[in-house]
Amino acid sequence: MPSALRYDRLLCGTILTLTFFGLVMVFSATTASSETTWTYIIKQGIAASIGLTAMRYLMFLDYRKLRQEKVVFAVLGVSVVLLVLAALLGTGANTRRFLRLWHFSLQPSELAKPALILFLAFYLEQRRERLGDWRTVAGLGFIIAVLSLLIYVGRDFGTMASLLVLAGVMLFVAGLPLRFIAPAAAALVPLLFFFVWRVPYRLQRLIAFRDPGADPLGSGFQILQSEIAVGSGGWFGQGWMAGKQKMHFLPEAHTDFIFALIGEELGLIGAVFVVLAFGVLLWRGLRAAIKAPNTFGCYLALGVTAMIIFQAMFNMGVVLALLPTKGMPLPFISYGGSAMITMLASAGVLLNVSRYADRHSL
Amino acid sequence: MSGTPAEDELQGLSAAANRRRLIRIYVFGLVATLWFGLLIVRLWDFQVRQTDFLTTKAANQQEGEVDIRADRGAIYDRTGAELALSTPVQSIGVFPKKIENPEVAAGTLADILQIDEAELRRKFTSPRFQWVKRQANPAEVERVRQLGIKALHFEEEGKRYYPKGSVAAQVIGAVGMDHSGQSGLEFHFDKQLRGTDGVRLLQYDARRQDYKRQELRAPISGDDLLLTLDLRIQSLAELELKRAVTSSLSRAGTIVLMRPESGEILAMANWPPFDPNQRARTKQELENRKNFAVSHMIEPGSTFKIVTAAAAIEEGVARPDDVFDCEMGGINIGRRRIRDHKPFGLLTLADVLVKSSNVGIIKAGMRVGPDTMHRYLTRFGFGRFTNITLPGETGGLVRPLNRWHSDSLASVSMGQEVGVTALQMARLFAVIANDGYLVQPRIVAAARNHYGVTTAFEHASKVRVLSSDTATTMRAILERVVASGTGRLAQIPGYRVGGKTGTAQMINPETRSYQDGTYVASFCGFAPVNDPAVVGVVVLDAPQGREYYGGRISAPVFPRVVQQALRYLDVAPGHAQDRKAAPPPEVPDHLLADFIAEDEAESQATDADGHILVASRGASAGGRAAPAEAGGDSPKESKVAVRVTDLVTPDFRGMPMREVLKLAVKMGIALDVDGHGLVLHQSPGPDTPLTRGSVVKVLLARALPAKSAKPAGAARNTQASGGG
Repeated sequence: MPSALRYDRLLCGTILTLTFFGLVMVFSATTASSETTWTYIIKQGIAASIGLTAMRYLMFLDYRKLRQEKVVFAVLGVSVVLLVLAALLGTGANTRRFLRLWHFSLQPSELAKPALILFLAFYLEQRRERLGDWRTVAGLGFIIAVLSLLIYVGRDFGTMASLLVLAGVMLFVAGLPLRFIAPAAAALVPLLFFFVWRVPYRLQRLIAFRDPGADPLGSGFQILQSEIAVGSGGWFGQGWMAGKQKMHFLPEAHTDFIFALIGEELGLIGAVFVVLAFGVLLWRGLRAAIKAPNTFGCYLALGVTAMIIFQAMFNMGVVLALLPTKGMPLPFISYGGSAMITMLASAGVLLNVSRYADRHSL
Repeated sequence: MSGTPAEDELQGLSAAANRRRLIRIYVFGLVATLWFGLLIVRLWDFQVRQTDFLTTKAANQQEGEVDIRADRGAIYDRTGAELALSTPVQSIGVFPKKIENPEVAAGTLADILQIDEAELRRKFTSPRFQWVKRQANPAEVERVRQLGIKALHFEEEGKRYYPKGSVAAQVIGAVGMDHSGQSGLEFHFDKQLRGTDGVRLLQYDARRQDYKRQELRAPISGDDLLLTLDLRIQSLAELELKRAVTSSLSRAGTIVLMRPESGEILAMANWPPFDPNQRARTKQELENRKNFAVSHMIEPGSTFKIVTAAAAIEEGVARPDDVFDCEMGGINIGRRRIRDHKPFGLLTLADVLVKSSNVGIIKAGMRVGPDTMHRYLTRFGFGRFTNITLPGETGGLVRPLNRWHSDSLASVSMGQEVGVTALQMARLFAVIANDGYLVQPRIVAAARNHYGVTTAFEHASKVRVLSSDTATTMRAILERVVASGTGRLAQIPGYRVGGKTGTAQMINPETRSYQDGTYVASFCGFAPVNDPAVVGVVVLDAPQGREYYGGRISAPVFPRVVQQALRYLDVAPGHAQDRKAAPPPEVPDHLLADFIAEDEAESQATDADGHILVASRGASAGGRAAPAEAGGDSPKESKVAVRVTDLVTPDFRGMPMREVLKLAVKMGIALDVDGHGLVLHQSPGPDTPLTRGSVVKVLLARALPAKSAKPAGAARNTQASGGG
């Protein structure tokens, strides 16, 4: 029976650790020495509870129940509808990526990522013998293009990049011939330029990334402040809650730049711990994918792992000034309800697949 | 495990495809791992290699150090009365960027603070912090605080306050707007009074608003100075100086009272006065801050003759009873003819001084000779600083021997061709009074530091410059000067007084010749002669009245000040009768009556300006001492006594010091003041009938217990009055 199978305890432990650690750091980030704002940590706590419930549910579900056309397309359909709604009614400062729902705002683009993973896992397994067929490629391209465009309309460039990368990784692993991958990548380069040039703030951020000192109070501000935060942490950091960069120096200290806060308050030790935790996640996630009993499980595990790892790589790369500034939350840690729930639910699926990894040794 | 539904599905994939998939997964894993490795290298770079650089950058933007002003030390007289103190006042500043409604705020603030609205508006447009009003009064601050304008910033600053106003103002000096000493002791001891500022660390957020303050180094309060001055004597000296200057129509004047055995200055009065609580606005007001007694060089004239006489006696070239021919009024020195103020025939050396003959003293000086004369000038400290701790001191002028002319010895013998200060003259007479020892004059007795430790000021030990015999002889001669000579108006009933008068012509600085009609009238003396407790010097500069002789206008000031001073110093009268050949005072009675009448008039007239307080205290003290005197029945005393007995003590409680002083002055009540702030307690209580000589004790404390919060300061004040 499935319930007799053993889920990956190391993987699960890592995810729970990161989630709890994230709550602790969000609390620090949203608590100035004089004023404590409880709304953030309460909202994040609620999101984590929902996410963990979903994770637990998806962990012990027979994941092959997901391998049905109606489920896959229902999830995909709901994502598209929500994205369209967000594009039409969305709120947010010069973006339209949120749907307001009572006290919470929903970010449909977060849901689009697992929806695409599910779809790709299903579709790539179905068509694994006909990957070279242009109709397969056309179907894939259509779905990916629709989701990307809808997300692009919401000005959520980071999520779009994340979506494209995870799709690329899955297609690459699934064995999509290089003759399709190469032109797609080639097409993306001018597209990237187009997006960058179209929206001035993106360009500024890119320029700032190359020379943060040129305009320390403008676009370079975030990167410079991020460097100062991380650097002033030293070996052991200034202590939890003791960071000073969160006093409006470090923008988005609780979301996109929370890794800088970790570096400042917990030092090299704390920051490396986070990197290593994601390393463990990578290792155990790919192990689950490799040892999955079937192609669908393999692709699900791979997709989820790629999504988590890419976002972690990108987020930490931005904080450490290796990549241009781009809104991308750090999985399990950054403040943000939709991302938290999505990540934990996706992790549930990954843990579900991991349960089959050790069945041969049993 | 068999029966797992997934198992059968593995088959669909060929082994080759399966291996290729595995490799591609490994490729992804490898890329991600390398990236993670790069992140760790990058973390190492920032957090280990560049951490110092980045930490400095962080500190630069997150923190700022500001000074915490140390409390400026207070200045006390020898009895512990406060002469200068600093009280905390609030200054109001603004962060213009944060102001929400500049139009309304400017109008309201200008109205409350009585400042220019346009100026305020201009300040509001500045990008940086601006002062709105410095040292605002507490009522203003309270009203402004109630407005609740968040952009305003309140900073506590020290404001210097001189509770006794112009009393001893030239000695104490004053501070500028930045609280640094500008003149007097405030200037000379600025560093010591100032203390050491502390440092406060402020943590700023990105909007430059501080959210955390931390004291890195506590400020160390400046030292308190404990002066040798006696406020009562000082006030009296100032009152009498004012009177003398006014009645003699002098330009300026000074009185110095000194303890001969220690060199302690009891009083150093100067005229014209200045108010240290006001900023100097005119050049004249600035000029008035100079301390005439140490910075003004005068040609001493006859008072200087004691140098010649002392040198002659000490060197054995003349004895007091050696007779000199005074040639009936004149002597030719080279081409110059020097005259006496009236013709004298044969005079003993003693009589030469008593009658102040120029001819006689020149002849004595010739016996001494230029070399010895010059040596004595130096011995008595002329031409050198006394090193009293006051700014602007002049050492005076003694020409080097090789620049003496043929008539220089004669000139110097009678007190010309030398420049001296009043303080140097006081020290000269202290040598005679002090059995031949030269002392170092001093005005600061001790300093008390932040921790309450009092350290006495070191001073040069006394140096013997005359033998005890010579000093005794000189005292006897000088007693005769007052008893029967030119200094008769300096007599004090019941005390033996010694002294010398002097009237010098002033040198016109432009023509470098003596000016007719411009004189320096002086009297230098000590009392009591048998064991002098006080040396006093009275100098009146350029008297324009009918009288200009030192014996006529300066000598009478001496007893009025010194008599009281002796009583304050508990020097008993007496021994007046054991004088040999004590002729009756030659002061006509009507003249004495005139002085008293004048006293009364002055008392009434000067009620408002505070000096009379001390005069009243003097009167009551005089009343107490009256039985010791033969019929202490001067009209002045009885009148004051009557006034006083009619009164009851007022209710001082809750009054600030200034009000207390005003009221006490009006009612002629003597006060014993302790602490500062508002009156907390008084003894005797209100409505107690006042008797002659009663003293009301008042204890002052800082009001508003919530804000006072200066237990250290209060403790120090208590010690101050205890220690004085």
